[in-house]
Amino acid sequence: MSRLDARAKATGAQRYVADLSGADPELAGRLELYFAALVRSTSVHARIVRVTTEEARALPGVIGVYVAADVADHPCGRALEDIPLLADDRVRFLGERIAAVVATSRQIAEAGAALVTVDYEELPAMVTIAAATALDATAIHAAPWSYDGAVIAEGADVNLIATREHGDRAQVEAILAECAFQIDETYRTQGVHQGYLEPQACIADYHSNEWVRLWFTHKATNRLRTMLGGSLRLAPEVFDVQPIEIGGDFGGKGAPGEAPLVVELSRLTGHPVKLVLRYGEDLIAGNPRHPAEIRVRMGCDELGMIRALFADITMNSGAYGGCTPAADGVRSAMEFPSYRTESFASAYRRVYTNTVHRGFMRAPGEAQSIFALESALDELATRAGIDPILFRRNNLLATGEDDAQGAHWVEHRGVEVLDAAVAAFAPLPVPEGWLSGVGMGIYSRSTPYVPTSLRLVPTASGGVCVEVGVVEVGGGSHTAFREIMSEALGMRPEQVEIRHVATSNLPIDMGVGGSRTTATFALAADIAAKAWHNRARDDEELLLEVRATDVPLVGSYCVQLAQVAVDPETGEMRVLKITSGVDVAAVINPLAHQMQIDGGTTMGLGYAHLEDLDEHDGHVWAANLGEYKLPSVRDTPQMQTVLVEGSVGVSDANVKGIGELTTPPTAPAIANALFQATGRRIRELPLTPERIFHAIHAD
Amino acid sequence: MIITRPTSVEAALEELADENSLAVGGGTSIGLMVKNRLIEPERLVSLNGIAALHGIEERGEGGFRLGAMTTLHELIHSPIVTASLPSLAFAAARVGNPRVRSVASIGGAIIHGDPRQDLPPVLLSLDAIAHVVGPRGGREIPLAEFFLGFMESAAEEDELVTQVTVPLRTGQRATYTRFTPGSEDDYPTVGVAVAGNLDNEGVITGAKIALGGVDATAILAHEAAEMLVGQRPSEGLFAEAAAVAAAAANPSDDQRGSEEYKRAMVAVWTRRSLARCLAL
Repeated sequence: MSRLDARAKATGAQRYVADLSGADPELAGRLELYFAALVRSTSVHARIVRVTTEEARALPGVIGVYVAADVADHPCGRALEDIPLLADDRVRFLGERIAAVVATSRQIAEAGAALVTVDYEELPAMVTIAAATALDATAIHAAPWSYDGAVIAEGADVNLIATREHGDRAQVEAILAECAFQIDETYRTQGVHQGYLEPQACIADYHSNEWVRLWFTHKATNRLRTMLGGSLRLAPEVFDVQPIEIGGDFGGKGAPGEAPLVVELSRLTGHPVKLVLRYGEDLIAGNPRHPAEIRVRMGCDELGMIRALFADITMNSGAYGGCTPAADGVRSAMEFPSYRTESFASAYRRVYTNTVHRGFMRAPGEAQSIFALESALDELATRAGIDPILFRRNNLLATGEDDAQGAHWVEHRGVEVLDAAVAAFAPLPVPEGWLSGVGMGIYSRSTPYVPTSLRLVPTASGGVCVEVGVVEVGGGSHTAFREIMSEALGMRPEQVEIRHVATSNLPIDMGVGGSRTTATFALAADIAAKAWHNRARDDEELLLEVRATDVPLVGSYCVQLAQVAVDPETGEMRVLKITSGVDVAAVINPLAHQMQIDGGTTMGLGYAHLEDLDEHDGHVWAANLGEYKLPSVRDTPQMQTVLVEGSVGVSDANVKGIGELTTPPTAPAIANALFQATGRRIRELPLTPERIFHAIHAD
Repeated sequence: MIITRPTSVEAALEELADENSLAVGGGTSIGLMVKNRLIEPERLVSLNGIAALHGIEERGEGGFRLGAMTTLHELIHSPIVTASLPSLAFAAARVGNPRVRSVASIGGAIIHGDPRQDLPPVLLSLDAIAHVVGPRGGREIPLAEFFLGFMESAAEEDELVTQVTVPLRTGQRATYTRFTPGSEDDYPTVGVAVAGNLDNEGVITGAKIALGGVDATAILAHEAAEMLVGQRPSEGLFAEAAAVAAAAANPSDDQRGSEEYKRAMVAVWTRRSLARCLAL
């Protein structure tokens, strides 16, 4: 079945937040739609001495210029509420919001913003983890423990947001000391942007403290209400978030962003207000992936069986911690999936720095940690004198075993998937004079599910309209929903309509994310189908709040093989081929499923060697899509998928997650292939030509 | 901002006499500058409707005439260019994407002195000449004197490039290499254009080496090229010349690499380009 959203997107008919105007029915009868533009910090870390707004206020068409004192003073956040709507006395990263100009057109608002001047008194800029955690570092937040949602105690180490520990470190240390082979290496990853096509955009229409309508590029509209309520001191139900399609999410559209501020601007002006970020603004002030430093100590016995692992992870959260759904951020980086080990412990810190605040991005935490862990496995295998692929195969979990976190999955099919990927892989020819190598990366991920709600409304033609709180972010989830629901109800797909509705229409929904969207819906569809068939009357509609129980813990493996070719004289690396072995239960929509595999791999490819916000001094130098290099079609290698069927999923539809499965293994597979090709190990992403050149020519 | 569409060079010059006007060819450079707010012209004067600025001609001993508004697409598909100026067609085919190439012009590629463009080093290596007209009359400026510095060319704000001419060099060999080791859709880390002639004895009788992406603007590596003249091609000779070319470059650090790396790449790609172009 083709994608439900394909035609509108291909023809340009699809509307997004930026397309909505005062002439549209949504805003008909309301006062004139105003436009906002933001004044952003040009300093990395500074005290704000003065904000001069007179010239901007005098510009014809400017309605108002607003600074921190004009708007709600309670900071916002998904869990940790530490992000001011507008910076008050201090800016903590370059690009932070300082003032908002509201005008009758976007052009005037932007011209007004250019007339606002800000005087700064510079403070020490702490851009790196090392600088921000040094003993004499300046505190970026005076009392970070005082924020709502804070998870650290008063007097915690400077610039610490969260700290977590897992496992028995003493035991790991004792076993490491006995290991026949050990490695102790530190891996580093860069800041990358989600790269969605549609920059963040918001329209707020404040009616009263009882009713605020909102259109916002947000993937979890129901949860957005809680964030808005927390910051604006209003009940979540006040916010009626309207349905509108999103032009790509990749994890980046879950933070409060500019929405609380735009609500305030609407309240202050009495008009609906629209703000559409320029893409450059989104690049410097969105919520990109956390850069990480991960030290891995790993040991194995004489035969290459892993005995001990200690991972010490530090995440650079940037200036605020409020863009992640928990204050501790991307803690899943602490896990060791896929393999057995006799002992495992990890430590985790999330720290403030003077860089853009960090949020979620496809496989948040895992993309960083799997690069470190899968590189480390390769290094340990090499040290033990064992082929890295065989080393992995010998250590992969088998069905029946608990994983390193103590979780028990229904099955582990890592070995089968590895064997299938290896069997299918055939290397491509290599340019003359180039070095070539093949490397592997493995990632496995469980399929979670969350409570949701849906309403089934019978249609006149004997079909059903299913109202959902899940926005279509572009992955095709509504198409999959229709197929699952039509199957569950015994209808033809054409008889089922999936409709995303305003938050006021449904009691709960957790939104898109976590590779759980389809599984969550499928579990709900089972329950909905039973209730549908048990209705008293055919014209009765159903509202269901679904909390599935007794769902088996299932997961998926992805085993990737990457082949690279390297020009030893220049350091140029070409990724020739990536083979992805993926274990699957039922595939609902083969096209959408394949797009997740290919898209996730391409995102991993960009992470591996192209994408970098390049923020070494606190400025994002790659501040437009000409400089920020997302992989283009010409940069993508030959991609081969090997589906290993017969796995167990959840619900009658028998589904498992796929959205985040193929991104994490790509970068380590490429780094490991680079090592096979050159004999040089690079422990820092991205794998730039210059880094490769220096690694090869180090002696 | 308004856009006007004059149909003659004279009319365009009249409009450009107003300092708030700016000439625009295909708009691929100007469009980015406006979008990134580097410039805010009140009036854009589109040159696309001026017939005299179009056309590709072969003029025998007089060489080749390329109208300033000749698009990259036209260069790529011109039988004259592909047969006689193949390094130019090759470079044009590697700029941007089909949408860019269908509007971007050869005049636009040189007018800004943009160091990242592919055509400037190729045209430098081919001894091309820019023909400029303005209120003070017409001038012919060899490209070797046209690129003055970062985003700076010898054409004044009230002047237009009307055409680029390339002299006839019978038996000339020419290559262009665009080194994009990251994304293929990026600007070149290094661009190397080489042109030269060998006599019947296999002795190099003339050579030009031009570099893009490694200085404030496209440059000619004069000293390196002169080392080649009167010599017979050899790996050793090419390596020596490449080292001299690398020393002549003055690259800056950016996302594509450090100064040191780019200089090393000038040496590698100059040597490889010379071997590809001038080996016996």
